[in-house]
Amino acid sequence: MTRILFVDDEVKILEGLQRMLRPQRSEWEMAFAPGGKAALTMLEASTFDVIVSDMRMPEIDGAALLEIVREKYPNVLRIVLSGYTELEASYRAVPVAHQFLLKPCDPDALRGAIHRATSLIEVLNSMMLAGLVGSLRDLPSVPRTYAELRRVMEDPDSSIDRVVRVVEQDVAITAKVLQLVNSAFFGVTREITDIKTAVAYLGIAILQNLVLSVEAFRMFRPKKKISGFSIEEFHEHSHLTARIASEIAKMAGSTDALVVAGLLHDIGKLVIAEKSPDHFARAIEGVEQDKKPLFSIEEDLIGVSHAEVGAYLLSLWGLPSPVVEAVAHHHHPERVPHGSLDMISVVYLANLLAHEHAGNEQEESPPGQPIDPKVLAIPGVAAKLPEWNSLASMIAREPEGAGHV
Amino acid sequence: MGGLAAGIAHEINTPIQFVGDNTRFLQDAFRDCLEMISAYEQVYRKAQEAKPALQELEQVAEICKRIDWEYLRLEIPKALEQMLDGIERVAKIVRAMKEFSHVNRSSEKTAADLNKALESTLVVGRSEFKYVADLEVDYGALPPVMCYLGDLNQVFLNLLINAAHAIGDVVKGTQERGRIVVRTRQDDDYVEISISDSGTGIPAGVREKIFDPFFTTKEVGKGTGQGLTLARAIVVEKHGGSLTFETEIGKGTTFYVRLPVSGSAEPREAVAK
Repeated sequence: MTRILFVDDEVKILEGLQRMLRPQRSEWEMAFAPGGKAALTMLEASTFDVIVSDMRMPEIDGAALLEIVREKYPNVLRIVLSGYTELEASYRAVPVAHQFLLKPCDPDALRGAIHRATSLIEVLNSMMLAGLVGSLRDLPSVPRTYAELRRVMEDPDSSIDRVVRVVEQDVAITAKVLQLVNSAFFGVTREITDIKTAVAYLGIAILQNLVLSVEAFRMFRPKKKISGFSIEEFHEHSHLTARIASEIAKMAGSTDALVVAGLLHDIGKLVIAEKSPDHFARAIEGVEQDKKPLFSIEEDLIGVSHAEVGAYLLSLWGLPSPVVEAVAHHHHPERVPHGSLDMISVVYLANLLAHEHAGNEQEESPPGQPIDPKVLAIPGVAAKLPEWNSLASMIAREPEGAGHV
Repeated sequence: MGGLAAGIAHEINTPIQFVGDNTRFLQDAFRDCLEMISAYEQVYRKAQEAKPALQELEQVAEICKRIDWEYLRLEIPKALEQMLDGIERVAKIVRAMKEFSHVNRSSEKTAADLNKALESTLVVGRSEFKYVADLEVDYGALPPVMCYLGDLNQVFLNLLINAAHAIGDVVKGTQERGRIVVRTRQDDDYVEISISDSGTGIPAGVREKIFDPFFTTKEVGKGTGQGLTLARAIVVEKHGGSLTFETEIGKGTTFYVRLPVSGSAEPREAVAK
């Protein structure tokens, strides 16, 4: 039973939600607080899994409330349901909210957001039961610049210049993004030195995805050195996977989201390496001993791997579900049916090929893994495989092919 | 005005949210009720044929329990009531916006009920003050005043937003609330509208400057420094009235708008009382 706390200063909103969500009562235990103060009292008295709060409220407003919740109850997932379209309000909420919904909110969207949060709680619970971590739920919220970009792009009145300004506010991000743009990744022939030109070449969607991966990578900094795991190799592998994935996609009808799925498919490794270094070190030792890939050692240990942890994080950040799924299943394409070459199978293949052709010694994933028969059965895959294979080997050997993020 | 528009959007989105939720609830509830009614129809048919309907009655009991009829019969009327309330709220805001954005069709002044005009201005500006202040109104009997109503509405809104900001500066970060008092009265050939706030008060050094163009003490994005300049131009130059204020640091400020009922008089200069 998922326990959800709804907070709004307008009692009629709460009563409306209560009635509308009544069909959910067999799976959700719902409580309703008519303001921030009442919410804090209720949080003290009982435990909740999710909090859904209004933004503008007297006394304690939504941003302040969620800030307290983040501090005192890091395990509670934080969702904003706001009547404000005002950017100021949403900016304030972004750092503390995992998801952001606008009133009037379609009931299916609300149910969807809560279901998304709760299905992930199940994944996490299984990790917690396995004793993986105490505080893995205390994950950082959506990276700021990426979130700002998303808001700007949702605004029909926004312009390229506003997009550019948002990115350029952060000098470090700007530098990294330009470095990526000029790497072999995109095959841009002349050097691009400013964000505006980068947008013109690559489009806003790609820019947004690059910003996200730059921010995500710098967000997690494992404090402990873990033998057998190198951040540099991690970055190289992520980058190589993304490149191979987009090359494969070029032949199969490309999507911008593939770049981000490729870049972030292993983000869960960083999360675990930072939040639970001992567990991670144990898993990596297991790879050497058992000569099995990391994910299957992780699964042996606790039932889930970095793939699910990464998917969980990206889903909290509200990334589109194809990306989340591609990350979640990148070792297990057999979990979902594939009619054609979808994002899951592309990321799966690109990841395998990247490991296969990595120049360095990839201790976490021994080469020579067989390709899943379900993916091989996708029309065109078996025929194209040799071509992709040599392409991957070529990309891997390019001197600046991997580049650091 | 961007902030105001967002505030109004919020005022409208709130009722729309709960009207929508309740509608969804009623849709589900009606489907449940239909199921129950068809079960009753079975009983009715048996009764018509004078046959026992024990099995059908059991069916009715089962459905009542499953759909939680006791809950529905209590909640459906409440849901309907709140939907009507929500729709009335939206209608009120839309009406007020229409009245507020009154366009002078001719270039001539027209006779207007300023109490009514203030009422719609307060609805339009409500989101600006409702989280920081309680509102008190004291409308005196006013004769129709010859005026450019759309312009005066802007003046009233401006003074109201200033009052809300002044209070906001005081109560910010505390759990206290301020007070805004709106009064109207007739004074011979004039009407006087006063808007008082329990805000910061205007410091002595800036009292002379508040009507100057582009003068503002507000942080960037909160005001253009044009509001009071425009307000004074409208009141004094267009209507032959006066715009004055009384202020005390830590106590608050009252702005007085005095307008000749006839719509014209010798223009008076705005001065601090």
